[in-house]
Amino acid sequence: MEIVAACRICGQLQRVGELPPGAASACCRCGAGLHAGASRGSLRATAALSLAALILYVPANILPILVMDMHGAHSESTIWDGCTRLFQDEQWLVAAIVFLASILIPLLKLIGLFYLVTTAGRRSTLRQLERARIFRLISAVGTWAMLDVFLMAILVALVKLDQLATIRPGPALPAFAAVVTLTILASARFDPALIWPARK
Amino acid sequence: MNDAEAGDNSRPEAVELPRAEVRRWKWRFPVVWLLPVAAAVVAGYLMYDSVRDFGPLVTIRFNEVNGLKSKQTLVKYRGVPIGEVVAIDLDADLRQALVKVRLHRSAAAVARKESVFWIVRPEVGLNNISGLGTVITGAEIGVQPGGGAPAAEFVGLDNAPVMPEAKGLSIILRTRHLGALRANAPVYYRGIAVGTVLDPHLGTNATAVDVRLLILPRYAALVRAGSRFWNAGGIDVNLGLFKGLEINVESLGALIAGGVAFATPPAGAGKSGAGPVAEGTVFQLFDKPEKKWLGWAPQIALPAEPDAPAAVAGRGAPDPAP
Repeated sequence: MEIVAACRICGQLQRVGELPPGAASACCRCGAGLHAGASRGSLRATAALSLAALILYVPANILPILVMDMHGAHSESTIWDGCTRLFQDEQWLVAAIVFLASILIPLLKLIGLFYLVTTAGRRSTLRQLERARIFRLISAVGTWAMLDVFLMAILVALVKLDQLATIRPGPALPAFAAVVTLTILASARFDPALIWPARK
Repeated sequence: MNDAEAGDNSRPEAVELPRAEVRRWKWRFPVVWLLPVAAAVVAGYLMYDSVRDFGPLVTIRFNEVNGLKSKQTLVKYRGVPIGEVVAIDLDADLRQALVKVRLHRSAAAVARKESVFWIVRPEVGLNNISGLGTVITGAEIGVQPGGGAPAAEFVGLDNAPVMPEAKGLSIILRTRHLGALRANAPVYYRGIAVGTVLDPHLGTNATAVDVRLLILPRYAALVRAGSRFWNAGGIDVNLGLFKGLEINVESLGALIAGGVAFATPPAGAGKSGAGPVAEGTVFQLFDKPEKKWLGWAPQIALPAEPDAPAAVAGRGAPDPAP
């Protein structure tokens, strides 16, 4: 079955035929990858990336993300510890931001991606407009996802200037950075055109 | 595959649309599934690495736990952290505090019935200043490992036990009045500190005071059945018509906190045996030494010092006769 698709990058209209498994189509003019026609591959990639992000989400939240040595006193805290601590210190806004950015939103993004992948895989035609909106929302939010890692990096650099205290990132930080990166890759790999399956 | 008219999109119906390129992967197998597998391996390794060090969880009862913080206070032995406090609660009748401590795997042998735990706080005493570091770092928990069966529940002391390193010869001195003698006071032989006074307490029937001494293992051979112990604390002042004023002070430490000195008769003199005494032998504590005792100078072989390259085996070459 042949379809006509436009390249995302250069806009060239071209015909895309049925692809053998393991192949992908590329724009005939600019060489950019054409998503159309590579439906199975895109879904598989998105599902695999989302699964990897979900697996790493567990150590990102259970292991300590911050290790602090102050005057010889040693303390470790996880993301959730940081949240509750801010909450107890009556920093409601910062606590809410940390909870949303580090715990809730990554989880919601992953759930959203899994939902998109399963419905597109089944070529469902239900709620297509909502699904398209969900996908655009996930992509838009993705640009802010690295905020937490950035904050941690700045905090570590700042506190190292003080001789009396050292803050080190704990083992959860690379896990968390991996979760965010994999989520961004998973949403980038998803082809929104699959929400609108061609009629057979 | 490129068509010459590929760039012209304005009249799509006028030209035949070009065909897209097809690129093949080198592998037919979907390699992208390796990613979740790799993620699982990494996650598993991270989790394993953090629990690999976990040793036994023990519960210690304390009367009060000011300065202890969960997930922050460490348990230290000889300055090395061997565990961490993970939770602090009150017990059911609200009378004592229960402190849950997670020990490192390498220190699991500490969780035995006879181990003693206490809270290290700054201590400033006449003879003893210790634990000042805890003013800055916060309190820590000290431990004296003991033997016995593995245990998970302990009763903690409020202060460090007297003479935490309880290795050596333990003997008892009996006296009618304690005087200025205190726990942790030194025990002298010929002016060298060879042991420590442990806790004094009233004997049975409350007729005398029993003071336990701990002699360091290296010097245990110095104590024999005929050894005489006297109270060496304070100042000994003698005013005599012919000799004039004579002042004897054993040491500054003994001056302040009291002390005990002893002398051992040479083998064969009197009823002294040649071997060291058994644990728990009772001696009498005298107030002053007799002149005769100060002249005793038996040759007693001591085990070599651990650090000295050439061991000094003998002590007490015979003095010229007094």
